[in-house]
Amino acid sequence: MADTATFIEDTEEFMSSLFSTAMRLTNNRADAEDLVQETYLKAYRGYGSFQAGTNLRAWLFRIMSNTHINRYRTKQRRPNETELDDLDDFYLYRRLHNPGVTGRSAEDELMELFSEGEVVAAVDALPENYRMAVLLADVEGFAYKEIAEILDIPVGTVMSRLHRGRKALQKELYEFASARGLTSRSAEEQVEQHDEQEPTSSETLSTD
Amino acid sequence: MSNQQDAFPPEIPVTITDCTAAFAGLSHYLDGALAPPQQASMKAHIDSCPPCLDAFQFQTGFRSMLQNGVKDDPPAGLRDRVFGQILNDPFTPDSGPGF
Repeated sequence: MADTATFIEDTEEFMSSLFSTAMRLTNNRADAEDLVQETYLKAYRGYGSFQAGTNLRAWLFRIMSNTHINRYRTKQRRPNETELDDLDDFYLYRRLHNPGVTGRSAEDELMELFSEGEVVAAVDALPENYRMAVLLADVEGFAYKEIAEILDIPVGTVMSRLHRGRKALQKELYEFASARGLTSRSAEEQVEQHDEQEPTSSETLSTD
Repeated sequence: MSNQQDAFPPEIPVTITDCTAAFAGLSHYLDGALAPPQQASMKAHIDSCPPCLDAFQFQTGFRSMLQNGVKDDPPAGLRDRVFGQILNDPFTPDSGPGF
């Protein structure tokens, strides 16, 4: 007969990724710990309704997402939809990537551009709906369908939140690089070469 | 055999033959979300097109950076606290499908 020990055994391995996500949802260690703790307690009490053979990790994330939403019924910051319209998933690639440098991985190239703190700050700056979709897809590797179930939204909404969240994230990071003067002239030349769209007027890339 | 699974998302062509289609589908490809024939033809295109491979690697590197950047290890005591709470919980699991 399965019991409490089985629950612990089955769910223990997911604590690290639940905690990481909880940190980005709450941006506070104590709150993140509380959120994980409450998630596990609810999961334990509801384990009878978990369908064996389905995705336990997704089920736990769903409980955590609902718990977080119920706890913090704060007003959702309404993302500025229009300012992202002209961007695409290749915002940073078009602006910052320097293909001339060989023998260096793209990840190394990016890590020279951005500190870990900036990555975290950019994620935290995302409106929560976008942040959750991006974390679940890009960090946790969930499929669209799983994210749809975790967040209880249609797959089409998952895709649109992801698309917008990714653009907003890159724009945020670009602004960090821009503030540090890392957006070189060559990067802007590249934009002109590869991207016929003019940067939107809100982006005063080259005025200073 | 033709069904909607042959092309997903619908705006991405079933066969990726040029860089425009490859760029349009690259994020879905990275997400593992393309239908199998698209996934295969995307891979074939990237393997044979250095600029698209370069973009693919950049986008992959971006995700790795994101994953590493947001990783936070749980504090040492969390596991014991979480499971201690469960072990002391008055609730007794009944025999549902999970138990």
